[in-house]
Amino acid sequence: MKKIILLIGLALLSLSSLQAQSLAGYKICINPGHRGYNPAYDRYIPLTSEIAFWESEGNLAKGLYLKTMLENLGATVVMTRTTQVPSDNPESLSQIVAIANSNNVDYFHSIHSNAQNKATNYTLILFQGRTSAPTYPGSLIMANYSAENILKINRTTKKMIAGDFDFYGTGQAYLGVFKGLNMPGTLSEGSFHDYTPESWRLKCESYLKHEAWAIARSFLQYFNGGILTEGIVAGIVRDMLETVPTTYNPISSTNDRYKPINNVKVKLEPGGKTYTGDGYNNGYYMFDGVTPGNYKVIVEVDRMRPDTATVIVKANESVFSDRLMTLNPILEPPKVVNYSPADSVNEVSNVAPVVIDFDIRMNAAETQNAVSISPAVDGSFKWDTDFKKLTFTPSKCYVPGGRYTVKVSTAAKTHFGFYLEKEKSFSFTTRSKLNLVSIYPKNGATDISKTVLVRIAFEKGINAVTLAQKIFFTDSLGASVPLTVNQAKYSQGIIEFEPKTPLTPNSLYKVVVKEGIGDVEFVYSPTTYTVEYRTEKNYTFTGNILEGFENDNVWQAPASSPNTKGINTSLTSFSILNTKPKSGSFSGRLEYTFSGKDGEIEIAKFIPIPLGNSSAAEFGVWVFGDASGNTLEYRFIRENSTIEKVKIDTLNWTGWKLKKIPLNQIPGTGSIQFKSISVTQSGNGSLSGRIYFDECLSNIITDVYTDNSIPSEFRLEQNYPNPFNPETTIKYTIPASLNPSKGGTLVSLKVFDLLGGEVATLVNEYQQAGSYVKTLHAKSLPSGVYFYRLQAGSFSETKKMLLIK
Amino acid sequence: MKRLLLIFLITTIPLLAQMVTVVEDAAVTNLKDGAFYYPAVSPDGTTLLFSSESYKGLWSKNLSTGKVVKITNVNGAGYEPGFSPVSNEILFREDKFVKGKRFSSLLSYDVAAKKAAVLEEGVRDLKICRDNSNAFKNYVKETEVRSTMKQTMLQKSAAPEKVVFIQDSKIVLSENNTKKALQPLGEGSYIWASLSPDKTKLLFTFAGKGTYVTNLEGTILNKVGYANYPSWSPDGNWILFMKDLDNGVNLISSEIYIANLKTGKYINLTLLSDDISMYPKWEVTNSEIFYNTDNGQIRKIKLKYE
Repeated sequence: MKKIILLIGLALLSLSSLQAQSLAGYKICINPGHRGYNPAYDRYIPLTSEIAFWESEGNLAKGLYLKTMLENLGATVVMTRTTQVPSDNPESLSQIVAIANSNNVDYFHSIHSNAQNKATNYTLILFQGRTSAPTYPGSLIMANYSAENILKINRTTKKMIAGDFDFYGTGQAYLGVFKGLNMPGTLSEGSFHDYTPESWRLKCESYLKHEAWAIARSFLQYFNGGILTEGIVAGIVRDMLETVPTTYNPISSTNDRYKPINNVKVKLEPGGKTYTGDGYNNGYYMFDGVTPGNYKVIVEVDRMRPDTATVIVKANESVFSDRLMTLNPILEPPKVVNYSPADSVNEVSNVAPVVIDFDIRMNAAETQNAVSISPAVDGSFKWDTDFKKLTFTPSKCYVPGGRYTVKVSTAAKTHFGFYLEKEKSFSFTTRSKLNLVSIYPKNGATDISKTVLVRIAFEKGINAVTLAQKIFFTDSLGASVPLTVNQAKYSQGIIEFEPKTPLTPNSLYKVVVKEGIGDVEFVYSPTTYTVEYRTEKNYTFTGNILEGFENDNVWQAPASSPNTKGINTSLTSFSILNTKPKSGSFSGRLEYTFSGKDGEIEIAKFIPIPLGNSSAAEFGVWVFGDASGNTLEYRFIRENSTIEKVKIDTLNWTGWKLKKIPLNQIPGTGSIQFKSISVTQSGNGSLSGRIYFDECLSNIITDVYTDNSIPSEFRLEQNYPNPFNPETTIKYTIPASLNPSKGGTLVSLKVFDLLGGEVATLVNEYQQAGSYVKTLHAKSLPSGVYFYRLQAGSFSETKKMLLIK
Repeated sequence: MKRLLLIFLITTIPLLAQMVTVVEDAAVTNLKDGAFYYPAVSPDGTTLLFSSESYKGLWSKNLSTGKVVKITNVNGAGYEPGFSPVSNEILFREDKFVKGKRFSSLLSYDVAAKKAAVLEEGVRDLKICRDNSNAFKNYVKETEVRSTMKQTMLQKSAAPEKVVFIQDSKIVLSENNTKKALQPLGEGSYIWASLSPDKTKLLFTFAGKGTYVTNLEGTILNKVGYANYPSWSPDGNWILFMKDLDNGVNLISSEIYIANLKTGKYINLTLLSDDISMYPKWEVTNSEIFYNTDNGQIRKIKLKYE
């Protein structure tokens, strides 16, 4: 009877110890370090052309796993971030500290990985203070626990703990994530992400989760919260026949020299748990939440001999079983299962690689010797990690329009000694000419903006050296127009340029693109293209400036707008910049990329602009279009709060144009407020573009100067209105150009105060003959008398104006 | 060198169109006397409080005599200390970590008697709700808002005033202990929340998204942008903040700015300084600002408005 009572007692004790693990009542702040995707404050390791390791990603994954573990143990967890943070408004170290402080947490822990020389891999825990005298004593205690636990889990070469005063040799606070922290805190550098075998392991979710378990165990020790009743089985499966490239710098005391196997399948018996590995060259597997006991680890890898091992799982511990696998021989001849370029295709890129896929691991040297290309081409061979895919990359371009034949002879041989049974051959023909995709403006176009951005798009990236004497931009008299050229888009096959000064209104211009322009594959355009177009009439617009696009804090970011949808947020932004102002110092630049169909980008005012309800009045915004074919729309709010979205135009122009709408064309009744500008994706519109905005105007008066003759004399007119507050316009005319080679006459229009001090420069550039209107924005000037002076060549005239605020 | 240049130019550079001029940027503490951080001025403008970098300890400086007094050496004392409305009493916290758990006390220091009294102790979640002038009339014990009014006597009554504080990373607006949680930009971490001097607007930072002004319903009125440790000017027209930049490991630079909410203009007040300038606080008028450098010197900027 006594024995039965004892057994029941032991069982109850066992149950109570199972429940002893707890962090209930504790509040912990977890900081996944380095925010996200900006090398200025993140750490980036490229692993292949498509795959990279960002430290911020690994830290975040560890942090989110740890959050779940700690919350399951009863703790309250405050995360400083739960997603990657965009770079336009970074989460600063001071913000991280403020999050921990304002939540009165008991402990702060920052998760990181380390980097040094690509050949080092140890575990480092840092805290604030001297190594022997931390600012908060609890930090040293936690540092010791976490260093030991992470060392065991990540199996790095050693552990180290240090106070930042000593580690960085400053003798004072150094790590920003501890500055101003009002509780104990640590920072774990679990392993080194620039050590390539470790970089790949840090791409593995289970590996990251395992480190989170190590930190969770440390918190249980620190808060005396008991131990985990379950254990973990983990390991790395590698190929005994293959080694990693020497650039991996494998540490000699480890098995990192053997190549890990991707997509491994591991089974744990008894229990039937299964694990499927990832494709990130780490060979890692892990089973957590395993009840203590004896288990078999069964590893199955395609083409490899089956492998089984025995492990003993203990509570609160991790047991490792690394496996070295050997190949299962395949006693069959190989087959070519795929290849590219496809047989008999034309218009193949002049740098296209030749790719041949076999169904069995091949003997690299003998198979390469069995492959030939005719006519002969210099290049290099490369195998994939399975030695099944052979890629030949030409070292220089193929001949344009050339026909090439690839042959794989029967000398191609598998790793197991079996030869290809039948020769395989295929042929392809390369591109022979460079084709034009589009050109703006189109031939015969009219009403083209005086600030037009000419765009010529070819199908391939342009070779800049072939452009000399190939493009001409002339006025109606045959004189060259001085240009600003955007070379940044040559790699996309796009040649963009714009006149340095606005073109003459209502005039003919000609763009000639001569034959012989070449692309990056040394393929040339055989055609000369000529475009003639006429500029817009000599419009002058005056009105009340309601918004000058001078400050970005009055505009909501596109990604934050409720009507924005279907965009790539990292490639879409709205900024106030000084690169292309229509007037004033700045304009608004929208860079956008849609992610699919039916996208929309809205740029909304935080506080809408009242427009009244005068039916005769017009409202407009200066828009520098991108000829994308997408749709420009404005949103208005009617008196009854109804939102009205109105199509303004298709974005089929470049250069500045005032895009306006009479208020009586806005649906609804009552007073009107302007709320936002939208760019809506069209079915045949471009996926991306760049548009500028400047000045929202109301009560617009449009003047058209029908006399397009060249002025015969200098003239400076009285400003209007006068007196003014805060804007006024100044008109002047420049007669026939004095210096055609420089694009006109050097003109300056400056404003001075009563003491002769210069307060504004409205013009200081070469201008062609014509009539001009400039606006003075005097928001920042005090009331008083001012003078404006026009100087052009030997001409000079000064007039007076009055600012009354 | 830049500091020398600053001294040379300081009386000659108007800050462009805003007609606000930095007329002085002077040291308030000497680095030989120690490294001090987080300045805060008393409501009557006579006393300056500051602490160590880790908020351990609290010092006061009489701004008339220049005399510095160490009030306490306890942990957490420098984290948002405040003054009684008549500035004769300084209120601060003491944090103790027992088996890893934080327990906070609230202490009152009688400036004349130079004695501290414990007002609360053993509090797991203590929050100080000092207002824009650093007057400290309310605090939060766990989830309850309490008042410290009536001179030196603690009144554990319901707080009648509007106060704002951070709870579970949300902004909590409380009046008569009726609390309303606000997340104007959705889920995330809200920090550095404060009420405007007229208590009609909120200023806060949403970590990773920037600093905003909203009405008390949380409707956004202004986006200030990347602006850390923001605070209202005494007249409520300006926002003071620091623009600190780091590389994910340590600080690289930090400048002090003011932004005018009406015109949207930003002015860098430490443009010509080499220092990493941080944690600015207004004096009782718009014309003076205190801040600390990263190496622990308290400095004062005097401004002239035209």
